Amino acid sequence: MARSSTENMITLMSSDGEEFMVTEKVARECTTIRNMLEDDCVITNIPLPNVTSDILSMVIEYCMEHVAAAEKAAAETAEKGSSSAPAAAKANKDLEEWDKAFMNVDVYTLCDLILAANYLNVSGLLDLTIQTAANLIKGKSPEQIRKTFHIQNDLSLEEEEKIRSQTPWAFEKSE
Amino acid sequence: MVELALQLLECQQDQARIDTVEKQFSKLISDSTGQPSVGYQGRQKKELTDVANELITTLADYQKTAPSPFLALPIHIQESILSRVPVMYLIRFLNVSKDFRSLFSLLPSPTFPPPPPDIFFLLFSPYLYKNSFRMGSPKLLSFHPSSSRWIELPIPSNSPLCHSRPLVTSSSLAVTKFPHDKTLLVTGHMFSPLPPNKTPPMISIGNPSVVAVIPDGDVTLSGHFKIVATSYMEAGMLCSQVYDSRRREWVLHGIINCCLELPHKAAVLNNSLYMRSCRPDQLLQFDLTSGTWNYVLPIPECLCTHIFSYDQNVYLVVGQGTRNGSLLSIRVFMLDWMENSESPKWREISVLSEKDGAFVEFRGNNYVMSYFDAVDRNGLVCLFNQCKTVLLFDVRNKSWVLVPPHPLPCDYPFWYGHAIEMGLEVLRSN
Repeated sequence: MARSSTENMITLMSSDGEEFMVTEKVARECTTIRNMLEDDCVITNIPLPNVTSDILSMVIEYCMEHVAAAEKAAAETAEKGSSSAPAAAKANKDLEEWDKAFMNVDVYTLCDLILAANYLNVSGLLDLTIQTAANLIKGKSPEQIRKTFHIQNDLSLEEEEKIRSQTPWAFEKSE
Repeated sequence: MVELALQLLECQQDQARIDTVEKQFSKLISDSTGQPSVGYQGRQKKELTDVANELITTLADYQKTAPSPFLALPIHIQESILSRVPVMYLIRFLNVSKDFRSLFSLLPSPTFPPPPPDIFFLLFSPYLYKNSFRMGSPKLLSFHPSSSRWIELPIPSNSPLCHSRPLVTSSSLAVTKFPHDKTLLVTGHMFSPLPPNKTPPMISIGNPSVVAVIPDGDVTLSGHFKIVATSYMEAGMLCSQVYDSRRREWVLHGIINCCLELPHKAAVLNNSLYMRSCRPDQLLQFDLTSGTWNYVLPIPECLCTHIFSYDQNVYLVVGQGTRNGSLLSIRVFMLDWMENSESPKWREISVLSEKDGAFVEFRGNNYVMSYFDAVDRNGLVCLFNQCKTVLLFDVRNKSWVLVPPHPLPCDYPFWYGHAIEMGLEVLRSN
């Protein structure tokens, strides 16, 4: 209670002009913002011309969840003197589940999140989104990849057949 | 989006649903086209049909010209996504579109991180000996753990691997021998573009047998490697010779009184080879730098073993059982150097016994299995024998998995028993 009132609040402004008030701790999850704050500690209003409000709100949601999880783990360690392994494992698993649910987005949003995570330099989110994109590719046929990523096929049948005949084993159907 | 438009068409009777769908729809349009959405609220229901149809056309046109969200990402991000995809799936990328094909045209790119090793356990060579020359397309039957499938891999007909099983392999190299000759042929693995490299004859002491090939860093870049061969001299003494491709000569190095387990297999870690000696029953270490052999510690009592290295550790898989040779359990030990101690110990990290379904299925119910052989790569050990079943052990999470049965007749004797890691060179050759 007292904590939140003394904590510095930072305003992040999206490309479409929406303002988001976050604690400094949450904002610092973004390395790009952390560097800005370290260069100029009185800054309280940060315009982010490359991130739309929809995407920014998701990035903030991710950072808040991860900051809260880290704080909870730290509090438990302080309380018990040492962290209990099963509790920590459960917390990790919960956070993984949360990440998984958080990644249930369409491919356009996913790519926008990758760009935002890259621009704001949120390493955890960048890793998560890149892995999600890689998982979208694994085990898919060329046709499925085209559909997933909205790509037009501009290869001729001969061009396709050439690769197929050179490496037929790579095109066998997954069960 | 088109689906949403269709929903809009379908639900004309229900005003509440129209409002919801319409809201989502407008948002999607403004998000994806960057155009401000037009408010459709308050229009007549029948007008909505026209609007939806119009939108479907606009969106279809838009999607034809819009860049794929993937290709709109910066190149370094595209590369880091692709670097997490096993090579087998990257090959499929070549057939997605011209733009995707061109992603690989710049290879090898210094910024493209190597993808995870895509392992193939080459277990059977059904067509290698019997039919290959008649059929003209020698193939190996391999197990591919990342897709959990059996896959037939063709061997290029000009490859020496087409004519004989390799003696030893590493992640990127295979060594074969000319019959009745002490000259070795070192080739890249079956998908590697490396030209075969012929060594001078091995030094004539006893009957030299190749035990390991050790690439010098990334062999596709350096092109260099070492080979170790051993032979027996009089009075049961084992001596070894090392070939260094930089010097292009065999040099005699090291001698020890022992008898190596057959077939000769060695785990390589930090410029040392680890092998099993049967008499005395000990783990042997051969230091490539000093050229000396040492006994490390006794091997636990067992029926068969497989030694492998992963992530700076040496591991031992043993099959233990009754005196008359019926397998009762499989144990995995890690060589524990015991912090500053001179005497290392075996530390058991996993055991699979008759209590485990996977073990019973692997051994079969007739108790006849007394032996298994194994191949490993990157912490994944593939155990097999003459039966239908193949068992995988993953040292990273200490898990045992029984793989789906292979599609060959049960008594197929054509063992190959090696592993390869498929790298980006497969894409380069296309």
